[in-house]
Amino acid sequence: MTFRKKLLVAALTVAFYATGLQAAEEATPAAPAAEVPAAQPSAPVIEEKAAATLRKMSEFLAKQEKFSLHAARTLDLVLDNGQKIQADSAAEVAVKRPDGLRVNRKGVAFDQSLYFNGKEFALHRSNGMFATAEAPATLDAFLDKAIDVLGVIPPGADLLYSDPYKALTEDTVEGMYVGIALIDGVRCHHLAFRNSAVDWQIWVEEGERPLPRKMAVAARDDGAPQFVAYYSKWELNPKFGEHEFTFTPPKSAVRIGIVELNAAAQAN
Amino acid sequence: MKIRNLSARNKVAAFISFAVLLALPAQELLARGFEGRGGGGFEGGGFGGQRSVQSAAPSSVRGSRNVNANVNQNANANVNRNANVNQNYNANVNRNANVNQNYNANVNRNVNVNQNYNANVNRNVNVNSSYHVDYHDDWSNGAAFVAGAAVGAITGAAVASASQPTTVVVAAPVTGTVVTTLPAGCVSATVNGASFFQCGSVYYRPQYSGSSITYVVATP
Repeated sequence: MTFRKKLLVAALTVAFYATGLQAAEEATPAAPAAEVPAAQPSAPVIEEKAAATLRKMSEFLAKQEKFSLHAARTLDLVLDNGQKIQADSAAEVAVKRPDGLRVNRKGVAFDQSLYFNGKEFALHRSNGMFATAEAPATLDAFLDKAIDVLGVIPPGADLLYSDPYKALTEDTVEGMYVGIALIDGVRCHHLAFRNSAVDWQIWVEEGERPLPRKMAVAARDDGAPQFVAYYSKWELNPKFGEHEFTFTPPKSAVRIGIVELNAAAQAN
Repeated sequence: MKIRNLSARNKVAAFISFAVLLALPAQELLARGFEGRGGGGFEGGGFGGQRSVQSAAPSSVRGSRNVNANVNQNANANVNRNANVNQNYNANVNRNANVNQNYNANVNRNVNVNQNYNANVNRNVNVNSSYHVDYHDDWSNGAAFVAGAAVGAITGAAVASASQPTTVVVAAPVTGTVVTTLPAGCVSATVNGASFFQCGSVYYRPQYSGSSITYVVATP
């Protein structure tokens, strides 16, 4: 073989090998790639189809300037004897990027609402108590503050960030594409991920509106309590009133304080 | 109530990394505390005894991150200090040293409260005789479902017992004690513009902790 031919063969071999890795991943969607590439021991291993589907959902959601949805949620509570009891609740979520969020949650014992308008944040409970606090100017910053500092996780929080893909996979170790599932009669891509502490799954609508239709999060330990949410009634161009995201306390409402559980977390 | 081996629980607690330490408003008997005994509407079942919620599923992926660090750092330490669940959970929440320190002092006092009341609590708890789980608002990342809530229930029950003829001397809760349930017979009171609940001689100030409401013993 001439030198040029050898070089060509060598180059093609390298190219083939490089693309071959990717092809191998795509060719075996059912087998999660559990091996971490040796050169990067901590890099997450997410199957390409799972990553692509999640990215498509993330970009689609990020593009929506206004949207609202209904969330039907079931949360496992673990009792002191190990028994698991489910707590169900429903929430209406309304978002206006970059600085509007309203959640109305109905559940057992009480109903509660959350308001965020880029200036102020309020929690209002159906028993008449409410609390308000200053809030950051953007939804992303507010979600960080709510989750990390105040200990408040708005329903569907992961999906409300301006980059849901990043928010969901920051801590991901593995991700796989499971298959197509029917959620509420709608064909969805079923994806499953493992983070360092939790396993989570998401079902993304197939087709032109890659919206999340169902999500599940589970701790891996201690009886693996599950959280499941079904997202429905997606409105991508809802009409919002002028004061949709601003809370005005009714006359009889009682103002109470709000504790910052992790004030220092904000400095991190 | 038997204190179970908590090593596994600690990991779950670590998942729930923004614990409301003390009262850990797991059993938020808001409806009962507010509307008086018998209100609320989800008692009943008649199974006897009262269960407390130890933990809950995480309700967000984003809210569960960074947990691993806490687990690795704290799991062993917490196992050794299992006697007080509140302490275990305190140690897991490493984000805000000040918060941990502030609450630790109170937690220690709460431990004493539990000890003092234990004998009475066992009787009082059964008086209610309803098997129920207090559904907790799941907006907090599960932090609320931590066992220390038992403190709230116990304290409430014991304080209530003071008004009954069989007498047990019950010490008043210490200022700063956080409970998840108001004792029976509280009335709302406004002092210098701030809202309190007055229950006998004890004043409680309501506050949001995560997305739950707890009550702090306070001097108005």
